[in-house]
Amino acid sequence: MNQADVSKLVSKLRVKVLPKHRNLPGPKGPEGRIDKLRKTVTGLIKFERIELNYNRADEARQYAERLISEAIRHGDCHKPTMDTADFWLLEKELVHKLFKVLVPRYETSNLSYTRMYNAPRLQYGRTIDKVVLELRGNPFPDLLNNKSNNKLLIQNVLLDAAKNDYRQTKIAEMAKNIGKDIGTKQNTDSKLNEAPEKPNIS
Amino acid sequence: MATGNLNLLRNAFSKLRIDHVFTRSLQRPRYRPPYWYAPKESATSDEFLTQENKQFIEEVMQDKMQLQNSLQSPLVNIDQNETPTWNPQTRRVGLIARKIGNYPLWTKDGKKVLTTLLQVVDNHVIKYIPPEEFNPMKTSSVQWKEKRKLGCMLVGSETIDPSTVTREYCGLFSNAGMLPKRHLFRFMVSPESYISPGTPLYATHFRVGDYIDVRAKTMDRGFQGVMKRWGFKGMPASHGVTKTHRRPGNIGSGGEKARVWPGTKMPGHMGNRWRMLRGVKILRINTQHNVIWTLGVAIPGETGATCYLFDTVLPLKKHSSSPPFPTQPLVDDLPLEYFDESIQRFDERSITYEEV
Amino acid sequence: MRRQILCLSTKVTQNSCTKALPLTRFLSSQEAIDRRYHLFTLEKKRQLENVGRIEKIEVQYKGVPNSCTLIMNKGISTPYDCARHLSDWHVESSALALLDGSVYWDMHRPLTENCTLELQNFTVSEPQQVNKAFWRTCSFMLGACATIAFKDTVPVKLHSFPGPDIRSGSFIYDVDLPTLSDWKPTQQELITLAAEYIKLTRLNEPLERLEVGEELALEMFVENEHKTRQIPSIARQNGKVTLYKVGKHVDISRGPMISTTGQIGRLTIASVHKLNGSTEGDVKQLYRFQGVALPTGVMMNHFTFSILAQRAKKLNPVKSPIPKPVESEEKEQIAMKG
Repeated sequence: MNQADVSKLVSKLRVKVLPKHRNLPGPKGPEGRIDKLRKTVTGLIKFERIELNYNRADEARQYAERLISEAIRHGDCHKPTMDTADFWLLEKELVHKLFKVLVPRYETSNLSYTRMYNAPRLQYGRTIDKVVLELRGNPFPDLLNNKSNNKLLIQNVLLDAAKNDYRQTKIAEMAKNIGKDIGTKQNTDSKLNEAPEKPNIS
Repeated sequence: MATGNLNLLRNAFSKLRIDHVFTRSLQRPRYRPPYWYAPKESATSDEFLTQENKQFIEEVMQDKMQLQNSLQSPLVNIDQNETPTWNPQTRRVGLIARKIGNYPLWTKDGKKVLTTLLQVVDNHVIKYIPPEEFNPMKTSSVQWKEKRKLGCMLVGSETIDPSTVTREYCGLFSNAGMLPKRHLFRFMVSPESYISPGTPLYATHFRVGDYIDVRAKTMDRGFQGVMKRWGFKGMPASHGVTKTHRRPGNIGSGGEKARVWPGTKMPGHMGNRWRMLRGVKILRINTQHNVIWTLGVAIPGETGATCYLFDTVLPLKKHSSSPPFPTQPLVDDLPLEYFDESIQRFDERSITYEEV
Repeated sequence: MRRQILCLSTKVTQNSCTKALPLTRFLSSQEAIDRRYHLFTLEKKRQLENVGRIEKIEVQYKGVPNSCTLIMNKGISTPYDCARHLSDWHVESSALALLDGSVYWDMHRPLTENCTLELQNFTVSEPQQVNKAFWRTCSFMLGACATIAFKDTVPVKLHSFPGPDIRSGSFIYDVDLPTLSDWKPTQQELITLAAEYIKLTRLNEPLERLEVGEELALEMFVENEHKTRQIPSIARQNGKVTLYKVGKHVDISRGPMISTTGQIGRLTIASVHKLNGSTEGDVKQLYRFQGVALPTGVMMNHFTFSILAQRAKKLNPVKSPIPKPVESEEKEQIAMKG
C-alpha cells in the first residue's frame, strides 16, 4: 500500500532469470564463482561470441545484460557505473569498448543484448550442455543458417510453379462449373471472388 | 515415448510366433501391436520453404479435406430392395468416440441424472476384411478358417495432417482415398453389415434409448493401496490401533498350503486397463456436433480419452427391432437433438394446469 | 568384338578419324553401349596424353573456410581435385564450379588457365545455374536408365532432351521405342523404372565431360539415327560435340552437369507420354519419359513431394522434337483460363 515503487530503479533484464542463483562450486567458493563470471563476461565483451557450458553461460549472461543496461542507462560519466564496469571487465580497453561501441549499438533496441544457442555436444562421454553465447550485432556470419527466405532454391521453385499450376486448374474447373449449373450461379460467383487472382507467371 | 515403447514391444514380439502370442497371468495388462502395425509418427526436419509455399501446401490439404467431407455417402443411393436385412444375430459396426465431459440431465419425474458426453469425431470406414481372409494375432485359441464368421471393419477417427505421419501410415488410408486418421480401430462385424470404405459414420448410427457397450482404458491411478484398489475395509483410525490403518492385514491362511496364493490382492498399479462397460443407455443425441449423451459417469477413462462404442450384447437390452443398418447415411434435414422419452426437454412445458 | 574396336581405334588415332570402317553386322544395344564407352575412354586418354609437358596454373579459391591459392596442373587438374585439397565436405557437397565469377564449369572438367574458383553447392544464394545443371543431369540419367531398364528384346533409341526448365515441373527425355507402338506403363512399371534409376544414382559415379570431333561423334552413335541427324547441327558452331559419360552410358549434351550421380536424392518417374509424328517423316513416334527429383540433402515430407509428383504426371508442355507440332491438352487449358 505505502510501499515505495522500486520496480523502476533498475532496468528489467530482458532474459529469463531463475529465482535462485547458481553456486558454480569450486575450491574458492563464492569468490571463485564471481571470478569465473568476471572472466566469462570479459571474454564475451572482448570476443563477442564464445562457446562454453550452459550453467556458466546463463549466469554470465545475466551479469553481462545488467552491465550493458546500466551503461546505457547512466552513460560513462556516472561513477558507480564506471566502477562496476571496472570491476567486471578485467581488460581496461573493454571498458572503453562498452561505452563507446556497445552502448550506441544497443541504445535504441528493445531486445536482449545477448543471444544463446545450443552448441553440438559430445557424442560419447558426459552429457554436458554446451552453448554459444554471443552479443547481438556481432561482425561474424549468422549461426542460424536461415535459408527459408531463398525462393531460388530448387524446392521453392518447383513448389511455386506447382502452386500456380494448381490454382490455374482450380479456376478453370470453377469456370467450367459456372457454365454447367446455372441454378447455383450465386454460390460459384462468391467462390470466384474469394479465390485469389494469381497472375500467370509460369 | 509411446512409440519408443511400442517399438521395443514390436521387437520383442517379432521374436515370438507370429500367429499365436503367449500370455501369462490373468490380471496383468496385455499389450500387443495390432496386425496392421506401421510406424506412425514421422520425424520432422527443417524444410527451407518460403512462406507462400507453406501456405500452398496447407491449401492443398484443406482442399483434400473438403473433398473428403463433401463426398456423397454411397449409402444414399442404395435401393431399399438391396439393403441387407438385419436379424438379431447380426453384428454391425461401432463408433470411435471421445469422452468430452459430464453433464446433468433431468427426467420427467424431476430426478437429476448425471450423464457423460461422448463425441464421435470424423469417423470413416477405412477397410473391410472378409472372414476368410482375416488372420489376426490371437491370444486365445486359434480358430479354423472355416469356422470364422465375422469380418473385420477398420474404422478411423479424427483426420490429421499427412505431413506429420510417415508415408507407410498414410498408405493405409490412401488405398481408400482418404487422408490419415489419428485413431484406427477394428470392429468385428458380420458380412451382411458391409459398408464400403470411405463412408462416414455419425452419432445417429445409434438411436436414443439404445443400450451400448463402451470399451475404454480406465484412468491411470498409479500405485494404489489395497483400500482404493480392492476396496478393503482397513482398520479403525483410533482406539489403540498401532500403525495399521490402511493395510491389508492377513494375506494367507496357514495349514497345508502355507503360502501366499498367486493372485492375492495386494497394493499395486491401478488403472490404465482396457475395460468394457455393458449396457449404457443413450439419453440424448446431438446431430450437429455428433455427441451422444449416456446415462451415468462410469465411462472408463479421463476426459478427452478415446472410447469405442458397440451395440450391447446384454440379452435383455439388445436390439429387438432393426437399428439403422448397416449405418445411418447422411440425411440433410435431421432434427438438431434427439431426446429419450424419459428426459425432460427444457423447451417443453414441465407442468401443465388445466384451466378451471 | 575387342579386336574390331582396337582396329577402329588405331585407325582413329592414325588418320585422326577420317573414314569409318564399314560395319559387317548390326550392333545390338549392349554392344553399341560397350563400343561407345570404349571409344570415349580411348579418346579421353588420347586427349590427356596430348597435353604433353605439364604446366602449372594458379587457381584462386574463394569461399569457406578460407580463401587460398592452389597450384594445379594445366589441362589435367579439375575443380574436383581442388575440392579434394580442401576437405571431404567440399568434395561431397559441391555440384558445380564457378570460374572468374562468370563461367560455370563442370567439376570433372580440366582447368585450362589461371582463374578464380568458387565451389557451388545447392544452397548458395544464387542457385539458378546449379539447379539447371541438376535438372539437366536428371534428364541425362533418365536416358541412361531407359537404355538399361528395358529387356534385351526391346531396342531403345534415345532421341534427345530439351534444355532444363524447372518451372515446367518435370525433367524429360524423349525416347524412341520402335517395337512398342502403343505402350502405357502401369504403376508397377513406373516404380520399376524409378528403382533402376535409383540403383544407377547410388553407384555415385562422376559425370565426365569430353569434347570430340564431328566424325568421331558420328562413329560413336552410328546405330542411333536420331543422334546422327542431330550431330551435324550441333557441331556447326565450332566443329566440336560435347559428350558426357556416366559409368558406361555416353550421351550428347551442351551444358554443365553436376559432379556425381550421388547428388541426386529423392526422385520419382511420374509418367510416360506418347508424342505422335507423321508416318512418312523420319520419326514415327516418341515416348516422353517424365520425372521429378530433388538433390540429396533437401528435406521434404512425403505429402509435399506427392504434390510435385502429381504435377509431374501431366504432359510437359515443352515443344516436341518431332517436326510437326502436336496439339496438347495444356494449350486447351490455357485457352479456357480466360
